[in-house]
Amino acid sequence: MINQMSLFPVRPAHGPETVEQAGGTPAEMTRSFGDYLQQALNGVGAMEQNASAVTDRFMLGQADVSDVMIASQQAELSLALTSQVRNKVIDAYQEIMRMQM
Amino acid sequence: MQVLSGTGFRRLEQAVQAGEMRQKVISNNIANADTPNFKRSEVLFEELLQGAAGANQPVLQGRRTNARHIAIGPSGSVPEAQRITDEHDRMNNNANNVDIDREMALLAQNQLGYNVYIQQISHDVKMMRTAIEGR
Repeated sequence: MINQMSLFPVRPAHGPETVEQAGGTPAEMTRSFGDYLQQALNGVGAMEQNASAVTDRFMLGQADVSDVMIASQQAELSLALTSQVRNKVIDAYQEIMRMQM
Repeated sequence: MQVLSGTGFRRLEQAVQAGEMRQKVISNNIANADTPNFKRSEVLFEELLQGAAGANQPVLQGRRTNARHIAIGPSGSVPEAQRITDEHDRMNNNANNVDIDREMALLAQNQLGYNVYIQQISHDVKMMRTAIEGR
């Protein structure tokens, strides 16, 4: 999940006319961000399931401590990353809503 | 409303309790290393869990319509740790069968396993807390 971070392709800003082309219409941008968030949440869920499966295998003596630690740290970090992205998005939304027109 | 009550978490809870019990049992064995006629005890948990979880066994399961039915095949429930006494071999001339070096090794092994289980419980709690607080 960490590898797939780039939301939109990064482009140099030439002027106001290129801004509209950057991510398509606002509706498309919203949808692609929604897809990204959905994908991230699914990834976090899969990682947590993987961590608990490795823990079960450790209990039965079929996995090493290092596997357990790596799986659980991966799950923890991807949850932290997802929740930080969500917080930033909500902060940005609130900032926009407070803007004076 | 109950948070953190899934099968995986209950399994970890039982594993920690088994670790505590094993610590007591091994300490008791070491304390009685010179007691005549003493037989050492052990705690079974992982073996029972293997039977209950059925990690690599074919899934043939009896359907239970009453809680008092005897479970056939792997059941979803988490087993409790059991204490068994080792009656067979003998170590000394006084019918005692405690090998102090082996008990020390088992104590160290149990300590490491206990640390891992505690760390996993704190991982589960931390994940849940992050999800609730959102930061």
